[in-house]
Amino acid sequence: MQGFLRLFSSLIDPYFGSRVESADNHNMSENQTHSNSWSKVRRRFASIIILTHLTAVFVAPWSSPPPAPLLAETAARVFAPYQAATYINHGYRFFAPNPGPSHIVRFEAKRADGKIVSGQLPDTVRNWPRLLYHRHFMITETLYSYWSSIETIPRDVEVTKEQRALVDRQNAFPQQQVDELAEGIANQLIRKLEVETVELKLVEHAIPYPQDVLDGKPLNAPDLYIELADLGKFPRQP
Amino acid sequence: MFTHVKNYLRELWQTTTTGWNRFWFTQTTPETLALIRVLAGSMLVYTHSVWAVDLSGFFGTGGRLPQEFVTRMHGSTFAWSFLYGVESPAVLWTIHIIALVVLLMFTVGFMTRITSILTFLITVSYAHRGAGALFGLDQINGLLALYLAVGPSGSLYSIDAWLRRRRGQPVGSPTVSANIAIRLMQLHMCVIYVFAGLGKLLGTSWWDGTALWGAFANFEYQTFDMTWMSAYPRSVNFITQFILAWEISYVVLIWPRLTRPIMLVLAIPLHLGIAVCMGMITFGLVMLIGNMAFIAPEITRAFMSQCFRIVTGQGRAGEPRQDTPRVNQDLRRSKRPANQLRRRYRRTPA
Repeated sequence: MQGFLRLFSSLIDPYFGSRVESADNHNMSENQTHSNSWSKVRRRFASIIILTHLTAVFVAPWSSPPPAPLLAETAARVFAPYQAATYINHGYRFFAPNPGPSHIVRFEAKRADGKIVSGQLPDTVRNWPRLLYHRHFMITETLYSYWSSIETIPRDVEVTKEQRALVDRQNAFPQQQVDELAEGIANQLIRKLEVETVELKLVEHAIPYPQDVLDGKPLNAPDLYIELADLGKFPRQP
Repeated sequence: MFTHVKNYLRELWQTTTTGWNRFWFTQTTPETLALIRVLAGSMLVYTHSVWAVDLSGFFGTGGRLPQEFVTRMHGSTFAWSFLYGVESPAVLWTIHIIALVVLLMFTVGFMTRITSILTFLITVSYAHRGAGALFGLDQINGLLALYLAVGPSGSLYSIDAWLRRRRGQPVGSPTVSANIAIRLMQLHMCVIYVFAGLGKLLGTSWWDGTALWGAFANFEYQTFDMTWMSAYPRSVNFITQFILAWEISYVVLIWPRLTRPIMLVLAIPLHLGIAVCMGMITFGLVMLIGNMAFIAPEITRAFMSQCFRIVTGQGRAGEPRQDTPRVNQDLRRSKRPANQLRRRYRRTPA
């Protein structure tokens, strides 16, 4: 075991940092060699904090959807307050499971003189610097993520009153989030563009196939934009 | 039989605790931590300066991120922010200017013990209030701010260090807390990459090697036209699967000293590729800053000495620190085997 440890230590990080080598190190036991500046009590206390923190760090992405085991979800409930307070409650699923299409918000605003102003969020020209563009982009993506979790019952499907009530209850939260975020976006546009009303639409921008691009199709070809939802018409607030 | 099991368990416990103590409680000099402070601090200053372009639009009353929407999104009362409830634009701007000053003080390393903690509080506050407009950059900013507050990140390359040197006090002493901060950063980066990689395994496009096309052909992300890659599907396949392999293997290959440089070098084109091709310059750079936690302080010291020499035309930063134990200085200078020198010092301690 000791031999294995020595081999492992020689492979992993043997020269990390400038260690303080005291003249007495060789007379000490293995435990004391690298830990002589902190007392045993201090080390134990620090170890508990480190272990707790690292568990919280691990549990956050472990319990993040898509699929998460029940065990992870249980652990997440324990660590949730700490993770939220320290802002380590992330899934880290960058571009996973698949890099998907983008989602934008198209707007049409009407000025007092009847002139129409149209545009979209995010906008590479209006939203500068690039980080600001990404902030706007993430807002429209957040809007889409709530909108996509709203369940709709097809007209030709018969459901009981209870089933409809259950779906309505499940939809209440994402619908409220969509409404409030859309209203926030609209209020800002009204203020910035000095318009009377603004109409918002959620649009998906599909990704073309490589062959289509080879055949000369541009990435912003009109048929790649699919209107998903009419988010409403918002008047200027008094 | 029982004795064998007992001996094995005793040995297992001893070796585990030895390894644990060695990993966490070894003293380390703070060069790498201090350089990460300078770079992460600059990123934090930039990130928070950009909020100022439309501060009221994001955080103000009637802004595009209503507070009710944000708090419901968190679903936790622990997701605190000192920006909650701020309605007056004047108050919001006052807070923002103070926050920027603190972040700037932290970056230059002035009163770093206090400003590092304040920086963490500012980063988390803005992130919680700005929920809905955030992405990977903010997550990495948060973890770097947290760990930079744990260790003595201002003990080198800082105004604090300059003031201490002027007073004749030692700077850049090796500490256990510097090691803990760096170790936490390293492990957190491993958790990020392993879950980023495993999450991708759920997607068919990462398996069939077409995922990168989804990134190249995404008009909203695009800053650099890479659609010419459509003519080279095998190259797209290779890069896609290479990214996947790199992310999944990071947690293992970043630790052995022989593979660590390879993994770090490969991180540069990967993250700069994201930065340039997808316009996510800040995210690409902050991931590279996180990866710097794996750079040994000796290398950082040599690099910074070279930089100081170029900038100032003298070799001050490369001089040995006043507080470095003499035995270590001699070990660095001498070509004699280290054990011979240690033996000499055992006879006549420094």
